[in-house]
Amino acid sequence: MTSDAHSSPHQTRLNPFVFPSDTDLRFVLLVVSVLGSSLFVYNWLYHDFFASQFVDALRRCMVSSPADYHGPEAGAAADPFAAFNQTAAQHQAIERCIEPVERAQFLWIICGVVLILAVASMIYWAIPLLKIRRDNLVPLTEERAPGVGAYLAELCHEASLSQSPTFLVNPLNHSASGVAFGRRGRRYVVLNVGLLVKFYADRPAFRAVVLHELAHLRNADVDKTYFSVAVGITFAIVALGPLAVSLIHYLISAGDPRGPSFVFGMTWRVLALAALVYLTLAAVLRIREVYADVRASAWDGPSGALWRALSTQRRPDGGRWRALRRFHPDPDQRRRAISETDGLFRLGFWDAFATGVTTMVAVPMLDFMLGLLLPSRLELWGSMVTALLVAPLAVGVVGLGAWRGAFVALARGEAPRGAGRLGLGLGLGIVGGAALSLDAVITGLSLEGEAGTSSMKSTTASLAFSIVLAAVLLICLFYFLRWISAGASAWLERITTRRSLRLLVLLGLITAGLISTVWLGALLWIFLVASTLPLESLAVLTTLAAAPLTAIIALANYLLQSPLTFALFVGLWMFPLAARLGRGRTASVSVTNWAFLDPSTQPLTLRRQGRFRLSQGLIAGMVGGLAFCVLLLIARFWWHSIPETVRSSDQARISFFLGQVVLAVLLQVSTAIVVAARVRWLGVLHSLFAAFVAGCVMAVGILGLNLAFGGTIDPSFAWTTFALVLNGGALLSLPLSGGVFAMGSWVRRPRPK
Amino acid sequence: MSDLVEYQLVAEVARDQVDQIAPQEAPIFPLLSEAYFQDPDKMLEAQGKDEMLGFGLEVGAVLLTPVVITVTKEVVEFVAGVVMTSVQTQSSGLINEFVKKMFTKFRREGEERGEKLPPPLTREQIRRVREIALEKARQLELAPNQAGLLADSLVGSLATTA
Repeated sequence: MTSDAHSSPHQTRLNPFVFPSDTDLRFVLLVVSVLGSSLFVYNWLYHDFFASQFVDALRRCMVSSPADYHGPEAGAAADPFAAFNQTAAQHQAIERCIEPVERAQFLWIICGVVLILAVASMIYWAIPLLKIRRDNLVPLTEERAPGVGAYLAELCHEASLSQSPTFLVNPLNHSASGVAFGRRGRRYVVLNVGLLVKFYADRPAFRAVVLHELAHLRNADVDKTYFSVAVGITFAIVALGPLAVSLIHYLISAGDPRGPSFVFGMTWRVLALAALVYLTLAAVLRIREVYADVRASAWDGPSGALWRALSTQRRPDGGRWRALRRFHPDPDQRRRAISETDGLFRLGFWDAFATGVTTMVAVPMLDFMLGLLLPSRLELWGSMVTALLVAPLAVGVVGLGAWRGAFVALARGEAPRGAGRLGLGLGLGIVGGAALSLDAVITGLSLEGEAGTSSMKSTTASLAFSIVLAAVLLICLFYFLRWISAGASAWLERITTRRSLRLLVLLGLITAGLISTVWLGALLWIFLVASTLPLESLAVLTTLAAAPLTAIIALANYLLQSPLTFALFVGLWMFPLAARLGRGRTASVSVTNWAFLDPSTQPLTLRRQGRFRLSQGLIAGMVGGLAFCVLLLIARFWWHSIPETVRSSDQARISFFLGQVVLAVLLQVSTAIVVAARVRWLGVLHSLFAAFVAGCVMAVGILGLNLAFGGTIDPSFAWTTFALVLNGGALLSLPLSGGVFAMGSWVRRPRPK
Repeated sequence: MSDLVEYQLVAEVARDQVDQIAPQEAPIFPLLSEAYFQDPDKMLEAQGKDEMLGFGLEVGAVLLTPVVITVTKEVVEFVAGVVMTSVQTQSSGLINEFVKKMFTKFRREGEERGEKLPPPLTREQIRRVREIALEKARQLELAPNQAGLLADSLVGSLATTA
């Protein structure tokens, strides 16, 4: 065992295979980015081939639809929604008319994507045969390499492979290396002649390399790898190639003065997307090697022959950017991963960023496709459905990183850190992806085409709107990932088995996915609408901006009464605090071998972050709620002292009701702030819980006293009361108690003496 | 000499040289010689490069077997030339046999059976064999010490006058 291996600060290596690997995550990103880009490419090719038919159909529909909307009229400022509705009605009429053409377009694009998948599958299927033929690979037999076959059988057994691969020899490659390849049901491992020589001259080195190749099979990354390669090749040939030809054709023949600008906009985005696909592919290939090393080192030992072989390697030339383009990781990185696996648990900032970019590459085209497929009356839902499909995917990838990060931090006795950074990476990726999206170039062209100051104003309004939205997105994602990490920390202390860990991670990600579906889905949808709204709708936006109070009240009313808002706020505190259940049994978690890569008798103790203070939150909530009820009772008596004629008007009744809601919200916020200031761990979540308890008591108080003083209750009124009180309280409590908790943590932070 | 006979002879002679100077390659000699005779140039040009999806380490070893076979082939061709000038026959079968008998390993069998044998190589011819072997090994970028070892081993395998 070498000294470097011993220099690791930790005695035991954690098992990175208890979580889904980065290979899986990057593979998903690669496929999503290729499919998202391909949708665009085939949409563009449709327009290139069938432009005249499409334009004719559109003209016919424009003529037969109601009169166009030319922006807000004088009275529109008073009722901006009327203008919006008018635009929407006209838009829907055109959409209905053009539906048959859109169906054909949908089929064309789907055929393009099917073609990509079919060609990629064929390449994936053919790669083994081509490789065997190109490299003159021959079967390994006893005559060709005496004694090797029996030894390989032993290694396959050691690697616990359910089915041994076919071993081949490459006599024309003298390196002491090998390759695992193949397709489903037919796996091969090639041993180069240089490696066969090692069998007789340096058996441990031979064993290390073969175990590395068998580890690829055990990690089940061969299909992903070769399908990734096939997808990359297919994307270049079947999508980028035709797109390039089409763009040149457009540039030469269109005669559109905006042609060069459009082609330039398309070209840099296509190049950026191609770079994204290439870098993601390279990242898949690099990380699989690291995981294979780690798996092999579990059989070979952390300082076995594999580690020694890596030690003899010099670092490849070139800087960081060159390293990103390579298909093999730096030997230093490989050695570090073998010595200490902690790095494999932490998702990097750039992985989160790439997830964000990929999300926004796919979102506009998915939305577009659903728009083509759905009837015009449901088209608006298409955008929402797209966002809802993609938001959990993005959160799933990055959220898993937060879970893994929390696990390794707690296992090492540290507090989880860096989850917020992942959120920022994801958010910046989403913002960057929106600009990179090929769809953006079309939108840009359409806006550019509308000359005049109204266009300028709309573009400026759209830009300002996007900046505000991006800031909101970044802040929300920063805290959301921290919330996921906090939830993970709370729950991880309860794990006892590998199965329970997987179930908890799944449960946590489903919860995060559902919650993100509500808010991130809505934000993505707004992002999407803002970037693709036609000019007329931007004018409506400007109108809405001219009547901000109306717009804000409408939005607040919608948000506060929405059951989704209620579910979101309850989910925020309920998931992490539910870990308290049964916690008495598991003060410290001891688990055995599954958590470690090497056989270990040492139990894994996850750092205890702090203590739950549910009773404190409950009592504070009850006290706040009852205090409100007392105040409301007094207010009720005061209200009844007012003359009947005054209080029986609708305006007075609404004011009194809203006054109760406002008071309830303020008292909830006060309760939440007190709890946030007192509870040191998960203070914000405890404060939300306290606000929830208080809000429930208050809502019951409002309804009960209303009934007691001669009022009536119906389900609609009851829901409105509950929703306004609880959602309003939570909405205000969250930022304020967050601020108080942050301040408290800052005051309490340990200072150097 | 027919190709097949030459291949067999070269392989048999080269095998002995590999045993001497690269014993770790001896067990897979059949595999290497089979690949060599299918495409000698490809085998000689083969590098220790790792593939895109391979292990990722340049732990390439310079295989000596292809070099040994190539050098041996040169020597056998020289010996065949010597035999053809010294033996007045047009029968290719007989020439093949005579070339074979120029190597000690096969000559001994002939002597035991009392067969008619060609005259062994002279000192001058042996020196020429050594030069040819060294020259070819140098062309193939074999390390000088290994080239010397190979040349000596080849010379040692030939029957000489003294």
